[in-house]
Amino acid sequence: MVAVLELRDVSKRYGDVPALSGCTFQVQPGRLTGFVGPNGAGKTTAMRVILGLITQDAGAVSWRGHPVSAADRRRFGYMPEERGLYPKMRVVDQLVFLGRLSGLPAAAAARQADRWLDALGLGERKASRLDDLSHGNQQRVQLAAALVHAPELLVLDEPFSGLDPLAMDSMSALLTDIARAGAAVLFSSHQLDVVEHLCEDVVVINAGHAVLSGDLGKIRDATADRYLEVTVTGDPDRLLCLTGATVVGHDGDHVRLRVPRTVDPVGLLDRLRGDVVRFSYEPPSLSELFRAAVAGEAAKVSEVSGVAC
Amino acid sequence: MWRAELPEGWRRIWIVALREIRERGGSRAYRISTVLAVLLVVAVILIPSLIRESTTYHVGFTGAVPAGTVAELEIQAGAVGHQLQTSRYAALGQGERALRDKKIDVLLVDGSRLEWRTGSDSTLTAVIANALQAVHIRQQADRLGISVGQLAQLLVPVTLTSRTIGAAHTADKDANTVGFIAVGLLYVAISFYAGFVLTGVVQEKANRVAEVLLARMPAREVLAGKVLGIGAVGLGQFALIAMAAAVTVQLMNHADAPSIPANVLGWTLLWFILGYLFYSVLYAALGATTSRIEDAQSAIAPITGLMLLSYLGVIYAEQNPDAALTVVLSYFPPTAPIVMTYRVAVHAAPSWQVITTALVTAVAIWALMRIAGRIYSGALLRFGGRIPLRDLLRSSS
Repeated sequence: MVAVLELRDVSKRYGDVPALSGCTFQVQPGRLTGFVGPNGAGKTTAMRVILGLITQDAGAVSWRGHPVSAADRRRFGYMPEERGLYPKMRVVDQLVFLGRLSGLPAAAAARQADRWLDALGLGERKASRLDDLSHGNQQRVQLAAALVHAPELLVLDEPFSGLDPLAMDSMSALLTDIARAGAAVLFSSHQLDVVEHLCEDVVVINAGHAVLSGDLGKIRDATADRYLEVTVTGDPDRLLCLTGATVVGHDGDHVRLRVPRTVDPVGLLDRLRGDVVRFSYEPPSLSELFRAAVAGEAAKVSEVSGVAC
Repeated sequence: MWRAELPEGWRRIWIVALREIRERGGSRAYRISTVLAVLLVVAVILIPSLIRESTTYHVGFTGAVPAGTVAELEIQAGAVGHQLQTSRYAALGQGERALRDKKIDVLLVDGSRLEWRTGSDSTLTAVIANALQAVHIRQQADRLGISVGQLAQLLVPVTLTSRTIGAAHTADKDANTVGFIAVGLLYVAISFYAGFVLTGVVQEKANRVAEVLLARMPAREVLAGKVLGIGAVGLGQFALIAMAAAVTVQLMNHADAPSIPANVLGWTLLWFILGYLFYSVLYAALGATTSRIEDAQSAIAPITGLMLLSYLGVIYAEQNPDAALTVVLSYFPPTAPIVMTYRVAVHAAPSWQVITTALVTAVAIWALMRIAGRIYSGALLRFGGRIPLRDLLRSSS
């Protein structure tokens, strides 16, 4: 599949502070892309560059193969991390207002506003003022505001923050539907399990550049390590000295090991024959990838500083 | 539809302006403040004249009174909007007692002498003198055999027109009053509506609406829509209040109220628009550099100082209508709206000067919008404390 959005070597500084340095990644249509990274890694800055809210110092953003234009950006939808709506304005009026600003004629904007409010279960609250709604409902109105003009790219900053489990489920289902309908969806989150569960693609950003990006399944498969989780009856100690394995977790008779991809899991299972209650063999989870990538960056930084010393 | 033909940018400016008009114009605070302001203005106009109209002069007579004096007195008092009651006293002593007891305001003795309690009232003196004069003229005319028609011809008033040559002579007290009223209104209105722009900008930044808007349109369009929308709401309210004032004055048809020449009204309105645009654009740019309304107030302090300077400029212009500084202040865009409004009201500025200063101010607004638009768009997405202006101008150029 061809990427619709591409960032190439994008850099941005705020005064002396680099926010992005050589950030490169792509976003595919019809898929959910999770955008993860530690606080201050540059996620929000990257999103703002995509939306044209700020101009990068260097690098390029392209949309469908050409440099992104203001007209292209009008086909983008954006939901900032907090608020982003008028607290005292009626919900339906806000959506019509933003829909019209995105280029919809008044009647179409009104139709779309109604449609999205109904779809998000806010049909009864159309005439309410925003600050009369609960946090979860305000978040839904924000999402409706990002969707009202049927964007081709949806950029969401922390759409899951502060939502209860049920609201998270409905937000997940909705984002999946939007991607299935053909839109490219890029959203940031600190909830790695949600991203892992929901997204086909991920971008891991650290210190201003993407340290991992692409199809999550392929990234996981391509890693050199595999994780073994074994629960045994009897003495777990012999698990701790399996050749080539590193113990990463040990809790009673339950052990989690990291082994090179080249180690044959069936052979391992053979050596433990008889005592195994549970056994799993899988590539690293997103949170393990994330930690490795971000820690690797930190290690590189410390190496560099070591040389400097 | 004409709106469909608007270029995209203007269409978005119109949508932003329309939102301001609907949300602000439709708010309860706006309706209440409009009603209160209208009531206040009507009251300010009505109350003094109600108080004045209720005054009734009590005039006492003693001794000989020329025939027709009472009737003539009533006519003269009516002409200046007062009522009259008369009492007749048989003896001087009785009349003076009534005067001392405050039953009458003045005692007319023998149709030729006025006695007052503590001091004379110039209006009442004039009313009585005019009445006596009129009675006297009629008596003399009668004696000389002049008919009523001939008398009327004799008394046709001469037409006296007046014209001011040269630029600056503010002897006209009414014009000065009108000038200060116009300047005061302008000062309040500009601060008020530009203040709306300031709080609107800071709020949009604080609740991140600015981000959502800027993802859809350039900052200069948001700025233009906001300033124009709030300006329309302000102009509407201003016009409504002015209309209420005009209608009240008209209905009362009061002789004492200073009349407001149409050209002064027109120029005041134009200077309101220019002054509002100038200051609201400045307020918006400075407001965008802060994230809290408390910070915004201190950010605009220098601008508030410029407004104050304008007012001081008016006081200076009143004393020194021809001074070079007065002319400079009427060309300097921050002070021009207020200083020029005053000079127009007191007929101290030739038309060409009013027109050129308005043009200079308009050009200044255009330049300011370009600079302020830059500051505004650079500042809107930076949060935290106040952002130094130098950073913004440098980073966005």
